[in-house]
Amino acid sequence: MALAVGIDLGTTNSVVAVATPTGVEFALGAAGERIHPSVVSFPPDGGIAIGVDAKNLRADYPTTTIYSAKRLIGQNVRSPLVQLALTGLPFTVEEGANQQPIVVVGERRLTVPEVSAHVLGHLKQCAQRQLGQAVSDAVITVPANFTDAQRQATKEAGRLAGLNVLRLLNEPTAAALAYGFGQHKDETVCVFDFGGGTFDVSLLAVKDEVFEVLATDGDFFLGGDDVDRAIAEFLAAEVNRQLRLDPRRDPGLMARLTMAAEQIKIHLSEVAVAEGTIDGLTYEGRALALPFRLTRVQLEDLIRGYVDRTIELTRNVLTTANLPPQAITEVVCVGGSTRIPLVRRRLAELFGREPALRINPDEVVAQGAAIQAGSLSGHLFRGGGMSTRDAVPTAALSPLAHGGVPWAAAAPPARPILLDVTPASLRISTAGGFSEAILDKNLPTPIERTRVFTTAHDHQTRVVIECGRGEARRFADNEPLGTLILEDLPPRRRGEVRIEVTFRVDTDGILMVRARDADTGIAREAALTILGAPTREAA
Amino acid sequence: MAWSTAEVLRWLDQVEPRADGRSHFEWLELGPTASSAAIQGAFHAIARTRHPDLFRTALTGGDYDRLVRMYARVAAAYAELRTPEGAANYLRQRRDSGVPFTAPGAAEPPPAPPSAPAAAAIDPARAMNPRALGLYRRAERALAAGDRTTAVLNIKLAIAADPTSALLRAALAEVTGG
Repeated sequence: MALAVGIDLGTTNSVVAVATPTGVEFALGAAGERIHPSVVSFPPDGGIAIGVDAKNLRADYPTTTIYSAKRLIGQNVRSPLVQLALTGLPFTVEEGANQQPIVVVGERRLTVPEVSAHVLGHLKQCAQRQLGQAVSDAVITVPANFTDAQRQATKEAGRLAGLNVLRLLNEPTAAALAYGFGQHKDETVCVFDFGGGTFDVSLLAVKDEVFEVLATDGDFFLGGDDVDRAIAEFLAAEVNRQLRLDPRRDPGLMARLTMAAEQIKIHLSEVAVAEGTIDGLTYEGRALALPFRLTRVQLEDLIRGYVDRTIELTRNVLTTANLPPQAITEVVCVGGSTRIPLVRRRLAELFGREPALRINPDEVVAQGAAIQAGSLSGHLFRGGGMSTRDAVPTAALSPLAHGGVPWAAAAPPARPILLDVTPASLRISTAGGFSEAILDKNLPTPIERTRVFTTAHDHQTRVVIECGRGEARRFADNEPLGTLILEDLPPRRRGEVRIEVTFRVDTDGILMVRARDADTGIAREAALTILGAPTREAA
Repeated sequence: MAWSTAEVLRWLDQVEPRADGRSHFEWLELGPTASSAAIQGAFHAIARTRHPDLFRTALTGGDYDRLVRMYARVAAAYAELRTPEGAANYLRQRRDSGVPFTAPGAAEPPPAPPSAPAAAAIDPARAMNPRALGLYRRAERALAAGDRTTAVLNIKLAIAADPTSALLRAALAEVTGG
């Protein structure tokens, strides 16, 4: 029988895991790696490299090696934040149909879901090779603050990779699941997820098998990449000072500086001073070497603004949930950026306790996704029981063989119940340029709510319902989601035609909008067209 | 523990015909005096027994969608009632608009004593098995006599007799004040 895997599809790195009757097992790459870089490279001699192999080509082929695709997936290419993100990327991105970003690699034009599908396909292969079985189903994790378009584009990527996406699971929720699953906890947990490209913070009440998200917040454009870039800019300034040339004109040189920056960052999480020489740099064909010295204190000055922002969002989420920091019984750190000592220190100051140490910040999200995949597919918990008779008795399925995480108990515990929330308010435009929320932020999902509106003009036979996402009263200050048009209304005085607008958010966090003429009883439903979302005939 | 698919289908048949007319408290299988803790307990109890994820493979397409839609109504009810301010607002609005809470004719929410088990909105006889019902009635009598300890004990025994009853869990949360 085909297996269901859990996939943490990250901005920089991805992890794939499967829950077995004895524990969670990670699928390794060809070189034994547990963490697979989310990188796809197209070398000029043809072919394609994915994962570790692709990352190694990044400096040689900076314009045809695609990374950080997650920053672009499901985004409107015209959005100012995307335009800003693009200035730091050495490859070319153009505008495609429906304002979606298109990655241009030589003659090829790829949608972002196509790029991510290559990464997902690679992960699927790794899992199949290790398990010796076909993998057809997957739970894929997404940042809690992902929008509708981003979620749909991620699902599309899964479909293109030949995966049946059982569920899109929010990353902090997945982490909490891995932390509390089968432990019979009664706790209020803060999940602080500072990854490569995104930041999320969620508060959850964990009661036995129920994981209820109380509130969530985040910043989609804040992550370890920003830290790397801050260090790379420091190095670029050093190049300019010591070698008297402008490295920003050479994407290959900048790519190497960014890769060195990542190493320096990791090093400075262990020691107080990083000192050495970066070799193998080239500028216009000339070989260069850059001596450097960076202390942890200097690094902390460079990145203080980013860390302040994560702490501010964490305070916000506590306020939203109406909880004091002391009410939090455990802090779960997710994402490589939580290894930065400054981050740990600020968290300890805020909560008065050190973050949980037994959590592996790189693997915990995939672990939670694997548990949810096992649960949804019914492989792990057949009939709600705890039987292991469905165990697949292969050597590869022993979690200990590959350093996996065994269950605390002898058998998998009861099926988890995940109660997640809407990450942002979903609203419609009303008269005078204002907006009205149909669904607020932090409501439990799946959820459905209907509100009744009336026409604004006499003899109005057509209403245009503009939908948006955000917290602003002025509609234009929110992120536009799309437009729904209801036509052939009976011509009456204004206010006499009542229109029911129903918003439903499903278990994947995807929005469905329905508008209905309440009086004639004729249900007219229309699908929402979401800007930036992939269309089948895209590029 | 999750309900059987037969139990879920029976619940859907019961709630769907009057889905628009049910009050938020009815969706949560509670009476209008329930505390915040009881409201959270009731929502968790419903999630434990019939969250759509538990029936992803067990129910076929159409019935699974029915479950998602009805569960989404429960979630909407919980969203509004989960804070004390939200619940108070909701009660005020209902009172102002004169919408009856339970059966037609009951214009005001029944003034139940604060310590009584909530969930009077639904018939206990339908919310648990007969063995549990006997124990639940005993708990009601004990409460009326002011004997909270005996009431708690009997509700716990009733839960042991019928662990699937959301009403019993809510009643326990209500009586123990959390």
